[in-house]
Amino acid sequence: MQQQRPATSSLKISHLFKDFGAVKVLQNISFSLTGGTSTVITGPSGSGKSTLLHIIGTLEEPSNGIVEINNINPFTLSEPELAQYRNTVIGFVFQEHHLLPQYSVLENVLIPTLAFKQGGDATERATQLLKRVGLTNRQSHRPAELSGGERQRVAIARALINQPDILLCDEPTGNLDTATTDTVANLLFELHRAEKTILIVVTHNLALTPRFDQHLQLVDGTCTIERDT
Amino acid sequence: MPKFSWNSLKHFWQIHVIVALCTAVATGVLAGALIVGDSVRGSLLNLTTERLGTIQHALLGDHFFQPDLLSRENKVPTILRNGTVVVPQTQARASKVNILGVTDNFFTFWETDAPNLNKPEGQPFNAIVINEALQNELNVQVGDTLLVNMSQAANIHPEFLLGERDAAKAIQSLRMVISDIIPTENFGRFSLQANQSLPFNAFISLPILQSALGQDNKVNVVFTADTNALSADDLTLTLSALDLNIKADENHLDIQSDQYLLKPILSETTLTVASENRIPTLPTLTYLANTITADDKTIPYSTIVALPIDEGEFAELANNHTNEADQLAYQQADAQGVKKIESEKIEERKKLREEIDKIEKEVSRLEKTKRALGGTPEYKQQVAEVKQKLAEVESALNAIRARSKPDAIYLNTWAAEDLGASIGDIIAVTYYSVTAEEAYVTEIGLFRLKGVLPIKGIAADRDMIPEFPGIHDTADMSEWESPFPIDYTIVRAEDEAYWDEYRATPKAFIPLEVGKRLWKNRFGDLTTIRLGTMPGSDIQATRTLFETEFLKRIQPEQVGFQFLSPKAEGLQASKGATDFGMLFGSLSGFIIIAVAVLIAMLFRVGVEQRSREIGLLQAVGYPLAQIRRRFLYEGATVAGIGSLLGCLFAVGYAQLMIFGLQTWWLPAIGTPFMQLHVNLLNLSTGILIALAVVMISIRFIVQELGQIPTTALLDGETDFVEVTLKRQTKKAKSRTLWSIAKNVAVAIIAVLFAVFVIFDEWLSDTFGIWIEEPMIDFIMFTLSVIAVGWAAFDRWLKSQRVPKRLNRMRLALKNAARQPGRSLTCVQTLSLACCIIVAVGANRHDAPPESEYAFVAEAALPLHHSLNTSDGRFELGFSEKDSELLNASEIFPFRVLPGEDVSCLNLYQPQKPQILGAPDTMIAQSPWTQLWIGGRAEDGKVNAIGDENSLRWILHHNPEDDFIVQDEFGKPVRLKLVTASDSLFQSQLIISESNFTKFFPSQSGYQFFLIKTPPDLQAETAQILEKTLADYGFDLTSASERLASYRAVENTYISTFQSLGGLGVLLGTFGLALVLFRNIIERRGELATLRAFGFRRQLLSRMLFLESCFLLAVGMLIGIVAGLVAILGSQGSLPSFPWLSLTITLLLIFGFGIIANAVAVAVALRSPLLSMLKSE
Repeated sequence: MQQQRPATSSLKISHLFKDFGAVKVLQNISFSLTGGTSTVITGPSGSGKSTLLHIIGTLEEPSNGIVEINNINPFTLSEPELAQYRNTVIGFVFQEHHLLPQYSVLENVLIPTLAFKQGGDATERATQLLKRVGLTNRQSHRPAELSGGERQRVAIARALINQPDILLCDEPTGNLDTATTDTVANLLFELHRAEKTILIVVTHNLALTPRFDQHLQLVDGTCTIERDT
Repeated sequence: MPKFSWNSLKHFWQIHVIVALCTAVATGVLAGALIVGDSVRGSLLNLTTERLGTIQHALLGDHFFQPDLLSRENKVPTILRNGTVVVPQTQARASKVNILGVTDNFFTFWETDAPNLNKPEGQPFNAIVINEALQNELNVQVGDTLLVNMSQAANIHPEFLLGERDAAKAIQSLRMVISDIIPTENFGRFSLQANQSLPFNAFISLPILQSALGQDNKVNVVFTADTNALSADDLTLTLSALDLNIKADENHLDIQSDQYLLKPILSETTLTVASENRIPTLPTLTYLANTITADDKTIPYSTIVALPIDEGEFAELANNHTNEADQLAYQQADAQGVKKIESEKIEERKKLREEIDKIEKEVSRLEKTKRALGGTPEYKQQVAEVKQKLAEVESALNAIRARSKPDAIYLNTWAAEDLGASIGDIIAVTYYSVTAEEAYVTEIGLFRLKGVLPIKGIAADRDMIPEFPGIHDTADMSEWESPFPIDYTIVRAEDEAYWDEYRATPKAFIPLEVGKRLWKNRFGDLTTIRLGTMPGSDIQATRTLFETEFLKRIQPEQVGFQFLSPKAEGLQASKGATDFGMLFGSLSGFIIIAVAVLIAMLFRVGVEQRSREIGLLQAVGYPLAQIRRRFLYEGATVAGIGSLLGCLFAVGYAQLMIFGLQTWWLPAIGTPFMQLHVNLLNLSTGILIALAVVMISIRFIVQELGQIPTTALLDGETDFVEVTLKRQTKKAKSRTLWSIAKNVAVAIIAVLFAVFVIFDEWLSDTFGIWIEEPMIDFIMFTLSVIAVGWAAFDRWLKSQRVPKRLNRMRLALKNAARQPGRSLTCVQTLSLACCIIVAVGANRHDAPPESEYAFVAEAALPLHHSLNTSDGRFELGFSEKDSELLNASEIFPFRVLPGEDVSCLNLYQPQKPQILGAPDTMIAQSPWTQLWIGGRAEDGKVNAIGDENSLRWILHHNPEDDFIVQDEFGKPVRLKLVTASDSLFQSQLIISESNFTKFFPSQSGYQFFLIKTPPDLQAETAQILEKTLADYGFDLTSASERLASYRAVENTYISTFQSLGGLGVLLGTFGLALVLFRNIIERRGELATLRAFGFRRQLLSRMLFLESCFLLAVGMLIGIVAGLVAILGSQGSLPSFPWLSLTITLLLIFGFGIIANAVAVAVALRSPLLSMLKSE
């Protein structure tokens, strides 16, 4: 399925529920976001932050409720369509960078482009992205030769290679020191602004929250909007 | 924490069940292989007991004897002859049949009822009982008539002048009626030969067979069930048992033999005993001259006696009848003759000197080129040719040296007058000699008449002339019935008159040494030894003393008796030439290795599953040693349960292998005789070895626990390449050490190999070790290709080069580089295994082997006439037309000393190999000259040819060492071996015919033949030979079929290896799948990330599958290419490469690998991946 990219991307979540048997992880979550906005989700461990992120990223299905991205409910798509949808609309950055050690930095960035046949020169864009994350001179290196911050910058470039509408980050700075955290966070915001993506970040790092447009607090599966600009 | 927990075992039951099953497989394969060995040994042992019953010992004679000679009770006299059996109606024929003349006592060895050997009522012919094997061969039933052919028992050796060789007289043919057919078991399986093949047995009543052979009350073998071994003390020899007789006179005793010539051992002992007791002796050698000629007058068929002419009664008689004038006339004539001969000798020696100069130049040239060409067949051929020329020159020189003046001869007055001969005249004597090829050749001897004696005294004594069979009792010369040709037309009335008056009284006398020179042969050089009276005694006392002393000195083994212990020898031989336990253990090596590796990998997976548990235990303070012990105990429990299960599997595996040997791999054992024999000791050994292998594998994995940081374990990490710097450093160090160790090992192997290649000559000369040239090539090519393949793959794995364009294929293949060491190990293991399978498979020879000979033939009864001459063929009964056809063939006859088959077709461990005597005319020809075995080697050794494989693997003898056999007189003969390979002679050892007749003089005739025939005449030739020589049991086999039968065994072993090795590699592909499984488990985070980026599960599966197939393909490809290149490089071609079977094996391995990989991918990806992406 070839997605038509909208002028402004949007994400709308209405009355979202998720439970695992008797355990209710998310209860009646609703919020909406548009392209160029950023949201940080915080909350204690087990509050359902990562689960919410995975539902938005279409990695998990909600038990109830609606998720609409660019006015499409992705969970109505078939499995192949959903995979392609995820490939083109959503970008992920995880706490563990999960770079493939056998490939070079450039190859790692290019990997998402291989899931489906695509037009255009992906390598050119990957090179540009690496330039923007400051790793031009490291593109032929292996992940093992990079520092933690550098690896996470590669993961960000990889997440953006297919120009996603939504960039989802699950504790992107969880394994980094303070200085590196700032660097990575700055990069994320810079690229988010440049790419006009919806940026959703799950973090425990409360120091970062003021930099986001919106702050959602998850407690026991319910969501409170702490701040909304 | 308990040392051991059933709960842990139960919780991780899946992995433990698989480990237990793998242990069961390892135990089953190992113990099963040992059970196969036990089963072969046990079955051979059973066969030995079955074929011999309670027979323990036997006295076997090469001639017939009275059984009373053996002073044992409970003895069973028997006649055992080799023969052929023909069905007159259908002409169906079986050769190599054991013809047994038995009484009912024979069957008591098996404690069974005797079959009916009585003449059937209303039948004109006597009864014969045959076994089912013979029945199947002949397709006959009870009541059918059979013709039984065997050699006639003759006193005089057929190859002596007076021996009977006429086919009609040499073969005893009996017409019998089948009265019973017995199963081929118990006495139906009787054989003195340790061989697993089914014997053809025919039983005849002993008195009937004795009567037919003219050997009343005599037998040639006596069996006993006594456990005490037979020895010379049990045998009471008599002169008659030695075929000796004494003609007694009041003044002397004439010792003579029924065999005409006195055997050398008997004549030597007679002279020794006489000398020691001061008994006067007169040794004589009597021969028959065809003619005695002086000028143009000739006397036909006369007896000539060779005796000491310068002593005793003869000297006295000669002196009394020779005057001075006679002596002077003789001396003058003799001197003139000597002068003439000497001048002739000088001239001939001059010519030979020139010939020797040429040979010396040739030797010098060969010496110079030895270093460069020493090992080539061409060089060996040239050396052999020079040796041959040298031998010819030496022979010519000896002939010149030996040529002497005419020897002295005395004629009696009748002969001298008849010839008109005077003292000093040349007397020519013609006589027959029998050549090595058993042809009569007329020889001539020149003598100078020294004296003329009256027919009286010793010159008229006929007692010293042994009786000529068919001659001595005839009334007229025209009635002579001799085995040699007689021209009755030259017999005159005067000769008949002489015969009437003087019978065989000798007409001429020559010196004994001259007679011996002319007429000595391998059967003896004296016909009579006359003993005088011992000083101070009378002739009777002399006789008594002589007989006593003489018999004391004769050892039974010297006169053709053998004391056999067939049971003990059979049981010893039952250990087998080939240890099938070791063989199948080796052939199953791949399976055992594969299973051991699998177990190690499985256990690793099991440990990895529990990495958090281990980390936790370490974190709370449990010592590492205790944690290791816990895993070891668990592992031991699982392995123990598995090995117990393996006992059942072992029996099943052994049963399967035995089934394979009885069906698919039957050529390896020849006859489906095997039964399952389980030896508890070997079963326990198998279990312990398998358990040890498994525990070593587990210990190896458990040992690695200490190398993993606790923090990493707590994180569930099991691959720590990038976890900590410490770990990296440690790993780097260990990698460095490993790398150094590998390089050092490779360097040592390379240096050793180089030393072998460069100093091969020196090593060969000094230590007698070398690597065959093709093997050097093979190793070099294999190592080169494998090393290049591995290096290229390693380089690719570690390549940092970024491809211009990344695609899914590249992505999948590059995944193999994630764990370069693991991938390289997979490829190395697979390539080595495939290389071995290809290389071993290439040794299969599926194409029919080629031979320069068309047929190999064996005769049950010896042939005494040449198949290469029309005369010989006429004697053997060939029609003129058939004889003409045979002119196109060249037939090489070999003498045969019966013995055991030493080829791979015999499973028993042979003790006494069959020996062939190769005709001297043949070994003088190329390519036999390369294996020159003529003459005697240094130190009195005898040159012999043996097949290298038979020597090494069946006789378990190093060809570099001399092989010792016993000659006919019980003396050891050292055979200096020259090896042949892949030859037609894998069942025997070969010596030259001249050596054969020297050491085994009583063996007569030819029973083994190589036949060269033009291809278009082969079918017709075979038919004619088999039909005409049917009575001799002449069996032809195509030479290439014979070679194929030997190769079939080798091919079968290779097939077995291919099957079991292939099975091992199949199991090894499980290991590859397990590696893939581990890779996937370790990479779940990455795979989940790919899923998050839109990679569908199917796409991931395809990529992972492609990755593992890539490793499988690369490994196999390197191995296959290395194997093929190595074979091409070392052998130059792939003449009979088994493409089909090898391709099937390799495709099976590849297919199985693919399936295993697919299963591994499916199982590994079944667990949820996306949970790996959550940060909490």
